[in-house]
Amino acid sequence: MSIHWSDWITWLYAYLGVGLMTALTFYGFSLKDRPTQFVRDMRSALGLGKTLKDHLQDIFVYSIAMVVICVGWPGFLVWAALKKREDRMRELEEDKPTFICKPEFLVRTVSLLEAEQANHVHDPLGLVPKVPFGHLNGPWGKFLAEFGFEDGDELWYFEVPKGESSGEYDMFDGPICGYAKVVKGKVCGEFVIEAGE
Amino acid sequence: MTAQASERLIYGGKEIRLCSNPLSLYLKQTGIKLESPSTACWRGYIGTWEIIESVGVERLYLVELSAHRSYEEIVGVSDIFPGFDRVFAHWFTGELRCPQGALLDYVHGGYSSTYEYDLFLEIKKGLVINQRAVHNKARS
Repeated sequence: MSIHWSDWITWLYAYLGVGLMTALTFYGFSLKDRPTQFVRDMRSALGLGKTLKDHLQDIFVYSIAMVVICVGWPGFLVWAALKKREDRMRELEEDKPTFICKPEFLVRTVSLLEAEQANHVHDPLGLVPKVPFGHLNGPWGKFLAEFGFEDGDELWYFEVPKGESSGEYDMFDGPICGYAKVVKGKVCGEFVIEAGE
Repeated sequence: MTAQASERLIYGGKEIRLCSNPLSLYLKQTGIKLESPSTACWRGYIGTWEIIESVGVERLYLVELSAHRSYEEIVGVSDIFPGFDRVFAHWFTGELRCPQGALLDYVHGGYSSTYEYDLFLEIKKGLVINQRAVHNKARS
């Protein structure tokens, strides 16, 4: 049996064949999102299991979806690709760190040395380590290690006014101050040294 | 919501209630996580603080701590601040509220109950820079 590619019906079968493969692939993905057997058993026990009507409705919906995908699979693939891209962008946006230091709260640039010299803590009872930032020296070191400083990066002293705290510092009423790493005018990291209650 | 167990402050040789949490920023910056032992202590620790005067300046110190790393494991100051059994709270800036006198209004949440007097101590980088007292009245 030979395939006649000059025949339009062959091309139609090929088109629908690809559509069927696409539909089956998406059906396979949809099965991953199904509730587990445990959840289904629990729902049954609570009287929330699927009835015959629900099963018939599922079969009807899936059948319609399969036919639609078989026929319009190029459009469906474009839609799926766009949706995936949109989801990825949203995930990236959600993962982006949020800083309490907004550009308007930046006060002045300082060098690392100036920041450390300005934060030597004196205590006559000697109950603070003799290192920059005292008991906060560990977090300061972590800030430097985590964000790193290269040529062109700037360290800024910032002050967040009272009542402007947000995000993970919203439990502090303010004012909040500290140091921020700024690259090309954008805050890329921050280290809080004071947060008023 | 449940009223929260307060911190303690030794001031002028007297132990009083402290309804502020000066340790919050330190715990946040160091990433130390504590567990709540009960609904009356969501923060997972109770600290005893002391105002100590030295060379004419009053400073805030953490002198005792009972912190729950887990429900069973209770740690103290030297576990949270290795090498120190008391620490100068230089990271704290803000107002400490110390309620005193009779309980006028009980509120079943946070530090919201009202007492006869509130002593407010204003702290800047661990140094006491101001204080004031407020006389409260019961809500009618």
